[in-house]
Amino acid sequence: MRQTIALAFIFVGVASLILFTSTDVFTLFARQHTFVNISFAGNDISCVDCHHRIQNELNNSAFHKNLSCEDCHRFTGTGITFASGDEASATPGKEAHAAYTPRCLDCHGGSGTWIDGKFAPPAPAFNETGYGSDVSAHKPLVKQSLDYNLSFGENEACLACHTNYSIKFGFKRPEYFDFYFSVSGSWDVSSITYGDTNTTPVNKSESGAKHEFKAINQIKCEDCHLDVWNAANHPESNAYGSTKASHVCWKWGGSFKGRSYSNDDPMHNVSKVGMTPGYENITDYCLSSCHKPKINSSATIPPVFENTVHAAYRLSCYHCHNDTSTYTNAFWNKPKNGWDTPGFHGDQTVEHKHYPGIYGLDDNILSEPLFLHAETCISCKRGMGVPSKHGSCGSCHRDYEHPSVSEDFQAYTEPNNTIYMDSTEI
Amino acid sequence: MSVRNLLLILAIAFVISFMMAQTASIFAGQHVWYNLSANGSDVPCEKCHADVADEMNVLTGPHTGETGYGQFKCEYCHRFPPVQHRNTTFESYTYASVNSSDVIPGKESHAASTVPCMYCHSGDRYGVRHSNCATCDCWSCHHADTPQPHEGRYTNNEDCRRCHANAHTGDVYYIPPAGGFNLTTNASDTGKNASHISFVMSAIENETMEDANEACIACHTRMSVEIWFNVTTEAKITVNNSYTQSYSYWDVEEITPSNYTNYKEVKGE
Repeated sequence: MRQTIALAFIFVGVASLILFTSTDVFTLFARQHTFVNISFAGNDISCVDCHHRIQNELNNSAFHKNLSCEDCHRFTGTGITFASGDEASATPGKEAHAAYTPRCLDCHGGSGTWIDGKFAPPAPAFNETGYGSDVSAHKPLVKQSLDYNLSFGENEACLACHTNYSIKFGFKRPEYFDFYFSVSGSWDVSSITYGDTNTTPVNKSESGAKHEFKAINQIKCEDCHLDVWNAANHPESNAYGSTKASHVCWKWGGSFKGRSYSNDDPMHNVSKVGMTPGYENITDYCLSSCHKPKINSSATIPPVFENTVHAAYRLSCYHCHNDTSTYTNAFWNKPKNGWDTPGFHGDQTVEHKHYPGIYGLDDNILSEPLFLHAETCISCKRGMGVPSKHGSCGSCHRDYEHPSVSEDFQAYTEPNNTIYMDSTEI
Repeated sequence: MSVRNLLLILAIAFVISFMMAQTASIFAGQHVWYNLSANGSDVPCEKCHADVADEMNVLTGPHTGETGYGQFKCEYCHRFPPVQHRNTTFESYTYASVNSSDVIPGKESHAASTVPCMYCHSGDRYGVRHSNCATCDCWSCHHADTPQPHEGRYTNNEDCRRCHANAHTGDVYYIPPAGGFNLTTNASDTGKNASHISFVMSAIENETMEDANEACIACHTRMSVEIWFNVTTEAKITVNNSYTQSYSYWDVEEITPSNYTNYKEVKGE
C-alpha cells in the first residue's frame, strides 16, 4: 500500500513538473505547414504518394507502364485546363485541378496521339464517327457504355476486355425458338415463336485491377463468351451418339451421291484448336475461322468484310455461305493451310446455300432477326446423327434427298443448342 | 517521529521563512506584458507554436519563402485581412487589434483563426500583375486604390512582396486561384472533370478542418495521410439479345460496379 502511494506521488510530481516546464503547444496535425514547392516546371506533387497501388498495378501491366501518371491524367489533348505553374507564371485549373479521369478514346481516338514520345494507336472502328460500322461486334457495348457511370465515356467497354478488371456477364436470350418446317413443295419455315428469356452467366474472373492492361494476345474471346464457345465445342456426343454434333465441327470426307468431299480440314473445325496446322488457341479459332478471318486481298470477299471492325465481326453463317458464287479462295483456312472458298458441306464446288429446291429454308430464315440465322444452322448440325436408314444425314434428309414430312421443331440457343423434333431430341 | 525531530523541522522552517525576502510566483514572467501599441500583431505566435515555426523552416515552398522574399508571417493567414478577389462565401473576420491610436475588439475571433485555404485562393485574377516591379514601392501607388488593398492594413513593401512578388523573376502577381473544383469566382472554373472533386467536397462537409483544407493539405504539404480506398474490382454487365420481327441487337441492360475491396495508402511514412 505504501509503495503504491509513493508511486502515485512520484507520478503526480513528474507530471506537474512537465506541465510546469512545458511551453510548447503541439499542433494537432503535424507537418501541415510543410508546403510542397510547386514552382518547378511540371507536376511537383507526387501522385504515387497516395496511389502506390495504382503504380504497382501498372508495374504488372503490358501497356502504359512506360507512361507517367501525368501523361494520362493530365493529358491536355482534350482542351481541359489543369492547374499548373512554375516560378514565372501560374494557370488556375478550370475543368480540373490536379487530374482528370481520361476516356481511353481521348488518346486512342481519331488518328491516335503522340504522348511523351510514345504513340497511342487509334482503336480501329471505335475511333470512327459513331464508333464505326454496325457489323463491329462490340459496338453496342461501347456505345451503350456512355449511359453508365462506372467510368467515364466508353471506358467500361475498354476495361472489360483490355484490363484485369473482372466482369460478371449475364447473357440474355430467348431460351429456344419454335418453328414449323413445311416440306410440301419447297421447304418452308413458318410460325416462328420465341421461348422465355434465359440468362446465361459468364464470369470473367481476374485480379480486378483496372490499371493492369493486358497484352493483346492475353485477351481471350472465351473469357467473356464461354457460352458461345460451349455451343461451338460440344465435346460430348449428342443424344444419338454423334461426335460430329458440334455446330461448327463438321469433319467431312468421303463421297456422297457421287460428289467427293475430300476436304478433311474444314475451316470451322473445333478439333483443330491447339493443333499444327490448326488454331493456336480458342481465340485464334473464333477469329480466324469466323469473326475476323484472314482475307485474300486479291479475291472477291463478302461485303461485310469491307468494313473495319475492332475485335470481331458480327456475323451469321449466311454472310459467307450464300448464293454468291464469287468468293473463291477468299479466306485463309488454317487447318488446311491454304486459301479456301466458303462452300456448303465443305466442298470446293460452288454450292453455298441449300440447293435450289430448298432455297425457301434459307430465304425464310434470312428474313428473321440475325441471331436466328446462325441458330438454325447450329441447331440442325447439333441434331446430326439421328438413326436413320439413310445414315446421319437422315435427320433432315429423311426421304433420301427431299424431306417429305412437315414437322414442328424447337431449337435451343447457346450454350446448349439442342434441337427437338416433335418434342424428341434429335 | 520523536518530539525532538518535530521541533527541529519546525525550527528550520521558521528560519527559512524568516530569511526569505521574496515570494516566488508559480508562473514566472506572467506579469511581463507585451506592448501591443505597434502596428500588426505584437504577440509572438512562436512562443506557443514552436512546432509550427519549425515546420515552416522544413521546406522552402509556397508561404515559406520560395519567392525569395521570406516566409509568410503567421498573421497573413491566421489573422487574414480582407481579400478583394475572393469567393465572398468566405467571410472576413474581425480580430482584436490595437495600435497607438485605435483599439478594435475582436468579434468572430480574438487573436487568430484557422483559415480556409480557399479564402485567398478563390478569386478570378491570376498571373503577373506588374512585370519587373518586385522592388517597386507598392504603397506609393496602391494607396490610391479604391478600395485599398486589404483595407490598408499592409502599407510596407515587405508585407506586399512576401505574398505578391517574386525576387527571382522580378514580377508582381495575383495570388493564384485554386481553380478546377468549381470553387473560385471564375465562371469557367467548372471542375467537371476533376478527379479529386469528391475528396474536396467531402472535405468541405467534414468539420475536422476549415472548408476544404483537409484535401488541400493532404496534397500540398508533407502531412502524413492515411487514405482508405474502397474500389470496385468487378462489374456486372447484363446484355439482352433483343429482337424485332426482322432485327436483333444486343442491348446493354446493366453495368453495375461490384465486389468492392478496401485498401490503405499511407502518404508521408
